[in-house]
Amino acid sequence: MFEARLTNGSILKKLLEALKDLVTDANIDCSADGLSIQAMDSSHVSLCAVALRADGFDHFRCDHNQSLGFNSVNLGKILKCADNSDVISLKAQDDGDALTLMFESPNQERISDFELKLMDIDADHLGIPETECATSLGPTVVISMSPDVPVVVEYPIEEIGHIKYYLAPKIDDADE
Amino acid sequence: MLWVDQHRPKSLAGLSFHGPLTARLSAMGSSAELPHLLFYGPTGGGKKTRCSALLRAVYGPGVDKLRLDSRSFTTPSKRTLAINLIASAHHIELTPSDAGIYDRLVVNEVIKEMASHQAIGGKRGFKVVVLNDVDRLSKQAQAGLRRTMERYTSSCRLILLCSNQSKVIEPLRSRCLGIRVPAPTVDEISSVLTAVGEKEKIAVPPAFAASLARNSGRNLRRALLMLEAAAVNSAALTAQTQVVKTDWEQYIETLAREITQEQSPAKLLVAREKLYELLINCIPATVILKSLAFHLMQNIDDDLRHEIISAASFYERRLCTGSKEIFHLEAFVAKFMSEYKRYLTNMFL
Repeated sequence: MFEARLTNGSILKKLLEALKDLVTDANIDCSADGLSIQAMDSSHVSLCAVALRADGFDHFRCDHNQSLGFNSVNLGKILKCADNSDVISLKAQDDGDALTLMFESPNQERISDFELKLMDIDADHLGIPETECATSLGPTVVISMSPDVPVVVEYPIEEIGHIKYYLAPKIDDADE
Repeated sequence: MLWVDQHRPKSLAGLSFHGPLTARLSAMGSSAELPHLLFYGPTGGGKKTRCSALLRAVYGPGVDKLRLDSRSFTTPSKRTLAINLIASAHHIELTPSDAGIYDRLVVNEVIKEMASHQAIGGKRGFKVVVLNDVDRLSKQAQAGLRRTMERYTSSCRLILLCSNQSKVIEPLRSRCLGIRVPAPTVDEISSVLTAVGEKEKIAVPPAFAASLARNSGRNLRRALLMLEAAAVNSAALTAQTQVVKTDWEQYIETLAREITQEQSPAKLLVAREKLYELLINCIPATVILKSLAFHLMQNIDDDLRHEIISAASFYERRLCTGSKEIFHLEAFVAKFMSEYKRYLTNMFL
């Protein structure tokens, strides 16, 4: 059984907006520590890794480690129906095939219920070596670059986690 | 799931024939370096199976977790085409010749983009791109591929699969290590059929297995499909069980017989219907043309045979360069009808 409640629903909205142009399908991996998403785009040029810690949610419960496969276009359409101020709750049964989303407006006058059928996506988790040179461009983004290693662009999300983009370096032409 | 896919060996250890080849592939899988590879050999011999098993040896079981993706790109004539690709976390597999006459675009844009970026994550420093049916690629696409292979070797290894090496241009062949996967012998096919029968708890008499193996033309995939069809059709398999030919083959045989019996515009229309029926059922046009030509040849005299064969090869070439297949198939039927009619009229003069 997986349940999560997030008062600041706009975090999820913006997260999905950021993901849906890059990846078509991805897995949300839920564990007791929180949620994580790792997905590559179709050309294997970039990798997007999201981590949201359990303690950043108002209510987080995850009994078994689960992978919820979703289509980012569909999930994006559902999340567009939520206001930025809504409280978003996610629920999924252990062996169920659907993810339930509930959007509550802050003054309780509107509650919307959505159910998204999940997909069976088999994906391997990639272990990415840490890069050494990190420069913080300010409070909102950290870029790490090392020669011949993917560029990491990391955006911390307030109090709850981060979203990292890895971009593969292009091979230089030797004769240029 | 079909037996062909269910019992396909997933690792190099599970392969039951072509022992020396398996040993070579294991050595390659365990070494740190992997060259560009070209697997060639007749269809149904196990090229794709060995390619996947090799990838498993290189990257581990993660390669079995596959997803289907689709990439779209625009042609200069503003048409948008989508090409399907299968990917795991470590490799991408696609068939660029599916784009037809736009395969050059697929090679120059899609494959070049994949190849020119380094691999993200993963234990090896390179990713693998598997290309199917490279012998169906146009010459320009193959030329584009050659530059890509040369430049981006450090980040991307290509595994090319084809049935006929002669249709792959020489520069591509020289950039790869060629691996020949021959067709299995009749005995090897029989033993595989018996092994699959055991796993499926069906008794396969050796005589039946041998006759199936012979009828499949040394194509293991076909033999397994025929075994499954036979098992579904009859409750128990005996040495006398009929070997059922696939329905499209019987259909083409009937079509050949009908064209030989009557040559007229009305018959041509009937033939058109039948050809459409075959095309709708996803039988590739080249397969239709070849089977039709061979069946027609069996019914006619030696004098006419070489005319028909040269017409068949002419229209087969047209099939590859043209965009609508039905035109060329029908043209071949019309050509056969006119040649045969002329031959018959001359015989009676």
